[in-house]
Amino acid sequence: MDGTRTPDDGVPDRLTLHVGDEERLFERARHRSTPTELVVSPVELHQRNVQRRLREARLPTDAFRFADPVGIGTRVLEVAGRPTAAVDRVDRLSLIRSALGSGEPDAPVISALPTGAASRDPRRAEQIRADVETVTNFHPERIAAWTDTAAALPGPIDDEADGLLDAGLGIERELRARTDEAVSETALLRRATRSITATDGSAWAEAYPNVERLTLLGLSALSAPHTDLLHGLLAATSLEVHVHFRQGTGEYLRSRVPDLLAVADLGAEAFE
Amino acid sequence: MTGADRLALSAPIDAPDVPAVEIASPTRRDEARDAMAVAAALRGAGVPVRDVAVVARDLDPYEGPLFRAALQHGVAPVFWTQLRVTRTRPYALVEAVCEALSGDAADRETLLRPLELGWSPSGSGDPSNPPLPDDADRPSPGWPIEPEALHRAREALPDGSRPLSEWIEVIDGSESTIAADDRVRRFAEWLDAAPAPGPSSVASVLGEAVEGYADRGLPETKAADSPALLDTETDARAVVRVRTLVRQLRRKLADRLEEGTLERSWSAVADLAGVIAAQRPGRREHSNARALDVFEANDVWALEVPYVISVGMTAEEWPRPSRSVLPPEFREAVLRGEGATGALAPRPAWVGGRDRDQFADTLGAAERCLVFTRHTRTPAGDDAARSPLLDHLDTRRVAEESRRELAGTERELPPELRAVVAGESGGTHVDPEADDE
Repeated sequence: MDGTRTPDDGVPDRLTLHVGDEERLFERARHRSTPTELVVSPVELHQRNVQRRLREARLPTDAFRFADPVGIGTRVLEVAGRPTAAVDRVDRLSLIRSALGSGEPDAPVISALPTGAASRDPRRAEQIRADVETVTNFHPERIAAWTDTAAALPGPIDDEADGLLDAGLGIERELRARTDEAVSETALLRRATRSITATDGSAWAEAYPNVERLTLLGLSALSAPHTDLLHGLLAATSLEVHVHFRQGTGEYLRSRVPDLLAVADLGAEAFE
Repeated sequence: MTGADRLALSAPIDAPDVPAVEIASPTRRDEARDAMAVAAALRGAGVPVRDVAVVARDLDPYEGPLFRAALQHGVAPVFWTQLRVTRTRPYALVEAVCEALSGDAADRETLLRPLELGWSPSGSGDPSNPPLPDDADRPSPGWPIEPEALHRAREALPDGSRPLSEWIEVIDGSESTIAADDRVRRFAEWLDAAPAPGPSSVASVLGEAVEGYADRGLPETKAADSPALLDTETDARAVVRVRTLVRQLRRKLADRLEEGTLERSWSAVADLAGVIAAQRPGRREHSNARALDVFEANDVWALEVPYVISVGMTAEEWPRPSRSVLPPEFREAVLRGEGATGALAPRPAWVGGRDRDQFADTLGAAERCLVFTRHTRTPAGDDAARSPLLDHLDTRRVAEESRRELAGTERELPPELRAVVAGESGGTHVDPEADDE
């Protein structure tokens, strides 16, 4: 893989974006009494692949601590004494089923769903909710951007895109009304993001006192929740952050990062 | 962000710096056979089996054909795929215990099913809990009960459904065979002693069944397994998964009972276990040096393997953009990200970005040679087009005649691959720990 580390316009100094180039991680493998680098990948097997490479090269792993994004969010919340219980997909589908079943026929969540039998399928409703969450992180600025984007599209696609946004937000609201736990693990990420920024980074420092660098690996996308967590860390801590995109999408994603970071009040949600 | 950046998602992918060989086979089944023939022929040419990996974008349509082809070629494959826990013995055991406890009565088959699946008392592998004293006339009192003894019990037990307490009376009142085999009675008593299903009783009853299996069922599987221990590995993974499942079951059952959305019965417990098992597939825990690794393309990221055989290189299978509920025009606007839209997070997978990544990872994993296979006909007899991803590199295509020789009993490596392997034996790639398979 080619060395693709270049200065990036419009991104904070402590954020470095790579395409491929994971070998740089191996160069930092050395003996340490406590890990100083957090190696984060959303796919569990990718963490194992990195560990396997280190082992095969007979390199020490003491300097690294491996985690997935939800794992680090959960740890930040645990150390801060905040709740970390989240509804999983099985229970979410069951809650959505009961929301769809008991709702009045003209309730917003029902009427916003596209017409047709398939729209009553809880899995479809959950996919709408999850798509809205991935694209916006339920952040008010991004929700406004969604509305603007939809308005610029020709009819009837503008209405369809708006309707899906309303449906996604409506389902999320219904779920919140039906459980005391976080609606999803992604909600824990938002909560952790807010906790990190609201405490000026001390929530992070308490969870990971010796960590100086965070390396995010193996991404084929940069979701809004992951973006805002990284952004929050850059804003509130002195952490060095390295993101390694993959070869097929890396150049594209790198070009999108500056605009994705143009959001303030990280972890804020468009719900009362 | 400009529209031009969006084009980066269709830019050329860097060609690998190792040779790429392409084999076109008539059908998917032929393709799977040819792929495994390559693996077997490489092994025949002295390449250690762990230096070869097979990659598929989606293993679902390939697992069966590849598995059968591997057996034909004497290769033991290990699929790095989601474990279908519902098809494993430990899961079937948990399900069978729930079934035996369901309702007021059970028939003979339902009663004995957990024993067929290797039920053993928890702790029976523990020397502090010795087996019953042996007796020359009695079958060996070990666990799990051997199939012959179970067969005798089935013959001796009457038809019809009855409550567990009555089954115990039947066993006590019956002559010779099953009365002499105290193990069936011990199992029936264990069932009869099970409390009504609640979060903690379900966790303890099913937990005991899983631990009994781990103590005694698993060693049986191992004893009967082939040298590569593939069944043992599946079984061991399944035990780990089912332990987790029992813990989840406890929590979910508590929630559902509290909400009043689930009736308190063992059959409802079995249904809930099925829902949980279908949702969170586990993954294989460790590699097996004597078996051929078969991966999904997403999982080869950052790996290095000398020979990578990538199957399913058709336009239909790879790329296959992910589905989305969002309208295509909206997705395109988010991907372009102009103006305020730039704050919205795009999913490159909408336009095959993940497929590009996984393809590039497959190219990057190969240290010595890439072999691409594809089929040219669908089962319906239509043409299956070549994957456009292959346009990113120059491949050396194997002639049909060479392919037939590869597929034949001689399993002859095509000249394109022979050249690569020959280069290796004269090269500097020396691994002192390479196994000699």
